[in-house]
Amino acid sequence: VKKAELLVLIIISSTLVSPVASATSLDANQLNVVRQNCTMIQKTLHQVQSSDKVARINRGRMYESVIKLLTTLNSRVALNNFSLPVLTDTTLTYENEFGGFKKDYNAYEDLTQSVQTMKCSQSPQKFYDRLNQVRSARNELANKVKLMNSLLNVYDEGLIMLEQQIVSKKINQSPGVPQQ
Amino acid sequence: MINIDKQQLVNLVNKHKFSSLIIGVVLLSVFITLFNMTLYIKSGASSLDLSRPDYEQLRTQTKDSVSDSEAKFSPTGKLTTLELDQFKKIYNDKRQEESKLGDFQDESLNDASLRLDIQTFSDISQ
Repeated sequence: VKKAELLVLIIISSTLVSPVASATSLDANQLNVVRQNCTMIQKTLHQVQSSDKVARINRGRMYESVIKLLTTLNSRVALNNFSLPVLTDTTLTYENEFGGFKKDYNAYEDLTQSVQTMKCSQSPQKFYDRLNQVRSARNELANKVKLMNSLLNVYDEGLIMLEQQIVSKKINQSPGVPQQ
Repeated sequence: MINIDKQQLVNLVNKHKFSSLIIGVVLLSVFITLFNMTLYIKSGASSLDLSRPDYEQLRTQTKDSVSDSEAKFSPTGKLTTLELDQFKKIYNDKRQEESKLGDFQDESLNDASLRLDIQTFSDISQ
C-alpha cells in the first residue's frame, strides 16, 4: 500500500510539476512595455538568481544530511529485524528526487543565464517567451521542494509504524508473555 | 601549410628534445585544464561555486555546514522507543531547519514584480 502511495504521490506531482511555458503573442503595446523594462528585468533576474543560488546550496546540503540520517535509521531498523519497506522505499525515492532537484536547478540556472545575456530590446517577444520558461522552470523547482517535503510526511507515517512494531516486540519479549 | 612527415617529426623532436618536452607538457596541461573545465561546467558545479569575488556577499548567506547531528545517531545497536525518540528529535530539528530555507515559491518573477503588470499583460499571463 505504501509503495502505491509513493507512486501516486510522484505521478500526481509530476503532472502538476510540468506546466510547459506556452508562447504568448504580444501586441505592439506590450512589446513596447517589455522593450522598455527588459534591462531592469534582467537586473531583477540576476538578484533572484543570486538568492536562489543560496537556496540551492543550503537545500542541497540539507537534503544530503537528511538522506544520511534516514539511511542510518534504515540500517538500524534492518539490523534489529523490523520489516518496514516503507522507510527504505521512501528514502530511495527521496534520494532520486534529490537527483531530479539538482537537474531541475541546472536547467533553471541555464535558462536564467540565457535570459540575462539576451539582447532583449532587439527581440522582446523572444525575451518574454524565455522569461516564461524561466518562471516555469522555477515553478518546477518549487514543486520539487513540495514533493520532497511530502515524501518526508510519508516517512513520518513509517516512523509511527516502527514505533508500534517496537512496542509490540517489547511486549512479546517481556517476562510472563508466552513467546510465539 | 607545413608538410612534415612522421620521420621528419621524430628527427625534429630528437634534435630539440628539451623544447619538445616543454611544448609537450604545455599541451598536456592545456588538455587537462580543458577536460577539467568541461567537467566543472557540465556537472553544474560552476553554477554553485561561490568562491568568485562577486559572490562574497552570498557566501555569508550560505550555511557553512548543516549540523552534523546525524552523526550522533549510530547505524548499529539496539532499537527501542528511547533510541527512536532520540532519532525523532534529530530528524524533527532538521525538518524545522529545512522549512526555513528558500523554497523558490516567492512571487519575485511575476509580471507585477517585474513591472509588466499592465492589464492586458495580466490577462494574458493568467
